[in-house]
Amino acid sequence: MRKYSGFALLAAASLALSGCASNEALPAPTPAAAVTRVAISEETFSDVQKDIFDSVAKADSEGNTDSLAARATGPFTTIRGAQYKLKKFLADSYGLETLSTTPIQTAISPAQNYPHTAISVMEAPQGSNLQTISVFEQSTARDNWKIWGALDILPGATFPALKLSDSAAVSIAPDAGDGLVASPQDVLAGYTKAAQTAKNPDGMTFADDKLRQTLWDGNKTNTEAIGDAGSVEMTFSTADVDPVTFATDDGGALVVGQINFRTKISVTQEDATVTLGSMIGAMATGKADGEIQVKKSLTADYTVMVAFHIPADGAKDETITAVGASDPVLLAVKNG
Amino acid sequence: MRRIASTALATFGIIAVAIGIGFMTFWAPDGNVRATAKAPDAAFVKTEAGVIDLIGEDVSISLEAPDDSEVIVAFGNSDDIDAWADGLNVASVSGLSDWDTLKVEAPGTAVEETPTPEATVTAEATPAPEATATDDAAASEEFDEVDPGLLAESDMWIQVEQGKKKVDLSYRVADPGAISLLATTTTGKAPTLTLSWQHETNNGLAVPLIAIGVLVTMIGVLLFALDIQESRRRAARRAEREAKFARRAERASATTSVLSQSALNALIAEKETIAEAPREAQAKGTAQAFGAGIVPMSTRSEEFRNRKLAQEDRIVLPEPAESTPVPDAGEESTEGDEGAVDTATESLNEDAAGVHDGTIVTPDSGDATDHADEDDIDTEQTSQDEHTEEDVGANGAASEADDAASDETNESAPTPADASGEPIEEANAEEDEENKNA
Repeated sequence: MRKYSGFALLAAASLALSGCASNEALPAPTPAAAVTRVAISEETFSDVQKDIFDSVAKADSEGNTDSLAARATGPFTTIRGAQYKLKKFLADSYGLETLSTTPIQTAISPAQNYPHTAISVMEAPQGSNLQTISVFEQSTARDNWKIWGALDILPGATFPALKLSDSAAVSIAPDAGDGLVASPQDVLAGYTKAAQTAKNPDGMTFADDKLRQTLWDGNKTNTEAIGDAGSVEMTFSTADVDPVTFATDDGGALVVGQINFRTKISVTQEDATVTLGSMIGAMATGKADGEIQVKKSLTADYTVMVAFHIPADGAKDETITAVGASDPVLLAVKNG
Repeated sequence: MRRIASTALATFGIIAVAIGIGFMTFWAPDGNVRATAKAPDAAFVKTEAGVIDLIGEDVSISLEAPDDSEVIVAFGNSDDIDAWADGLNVASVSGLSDWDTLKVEAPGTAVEETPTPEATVTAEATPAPEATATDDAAASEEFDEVDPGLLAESDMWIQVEQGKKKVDLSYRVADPGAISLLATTTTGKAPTLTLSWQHETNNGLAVPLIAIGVLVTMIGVLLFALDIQESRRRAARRAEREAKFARRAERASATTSVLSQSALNALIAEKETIAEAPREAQAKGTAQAFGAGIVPMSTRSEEFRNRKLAQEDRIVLPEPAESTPVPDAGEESTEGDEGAVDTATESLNEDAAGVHDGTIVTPDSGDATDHADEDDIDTEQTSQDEHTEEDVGANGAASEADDAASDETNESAPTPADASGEPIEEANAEEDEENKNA
């Protein structure tokens, strides 16, 4: 009996060891640790931008706002749609704003929260010597990236360096004013006041800019044209669109938003009639050379995109500076 | 005992090696893991983070539509997939139920293990309970409605594949634990998902077992070899000891003498007939040794007689008085025996025993005279004995102290050893053997 005990022991050991080979535990998935990453890689986004500009170019050629909506959103859709309308009325006498399709530098927001946003400094488009700013947005996960806005960098303005965290641009909520001279929403609202009254609102100082000057000049021209027959009033308001804001390296922010303004022409002189042509006439009549007779009042609604650099709170220079602006676009005309 | 232990060790080692090899070959688990999930009544199926690279970064993926529709599958960052699928009717693959089945969590239900393909047939054949159908319907109403085709158009995906009814592809996960897939069909039904990996078959025990087995086997073999070597060494020592005892016994039986008893006995036995022969014949048969008490006569006597002697060895005989007759020296004796002084002188001169400058030199004229009565053999032998004794006395210390030295002395010295003849050599040989044994 003892003679075979050794072999029995060896056999038992062999069987026990062989069992180790077959009872392998099922592996469990190991998710990667959550890290901050950009919403989309720059390489992929470059392809996306190309798709966007191709889509816009196609919509431009068709003048079709539905087609435009596939890759455009926000203020850009509004502005481009109005331009399509004007283009439709004015035909060759009106040229669509040329978009630059060559990005110089792009900053993309983190992937964690929606909407995802991205901002690119673009080369000057054909026929212009001003670099432009293009803003893109992905509203939800099931939406694709779309162009949200496009505006020129104003002459003499400097595009501020954006703050990056783990390669992602740092987004700032519209109402987040901590660490800033004012929140993005307040800055836009303050600018409308400043444009309206030509005075800086409380707590904010706006540097003079070409946009306001242009608007004031236009208003002055209209007032002179109306003369004693009536009055011209220009009112400014912020558009019902949340601005897109990124933190800058200097602790401030770059906000891009939309501002509307309305020009109201009131005929105060009895039996007087004011005749308006050009874009207002075309928009009002639907004809390229259309004219509209204003006997009481006429309102022309415009919209424009603006970009401001908001300094950090306590910065040496707390002046808010306009960085970019688009050409104002006539949205609608209402007579009477 | 050691041999048993070494054999057991070697056997155990070989078994361990065999088991280790077995782990790497026929006991190794199947190298290919293929797990399937059929999404239950969902519009989409997705994998959770870390599932598609659950076993390896290279995964083969097969998606098959339940109908003839087109299959769409997108790969993206897991958080993008989750965000895109949020609110949709999505079945989620969260891991393995077993090595053949993916674990699926249906939307709005607890964790559900997808049955194996065989079991799936049975489950499909069995009508689902009405309550379950109602629940599913209620649940589906809460899901967002989305065009399945939008899945292929999203900007977020790393890769998108489409195929009629079935999609087979290989995918390498570049960012382990962070990539997922989301799949559907154009009819809005989740496809059957099969993931295949090449599983690492290395059993962790295999290599250690083989290493330990080889080591134990080597130790066993070494112990076995040492045991055999030790046995042989013991046997050799035993044989040597027995041989030594035998030699001692043999030496104990031998007579210690200048002329060994055994040699003499052999000689006598060999020359037995000579012993019976007449004296002259015996003397001749024993190489002139017959009658010698101590040393036999050497055949080189002549050589010894004529050799040069050292000055101190010379014995100068005083010149005899003129015509003084030697008493007791008869004519017959003088003629027959060269031991008479005159005659001996002449004889010595004739034999050239040692004439130097007219000086007559003889080893021992007295002895020669004393033995004048005896025959020639005796006289010559006596003379030689004296030479031998003196030479041996001069060289004896070396001869007794070291046989080898004695041999050298015999060759270089004026041949005392040669003069001593064979018996001395035998004695020296005996002493050599004893010294070696000592």
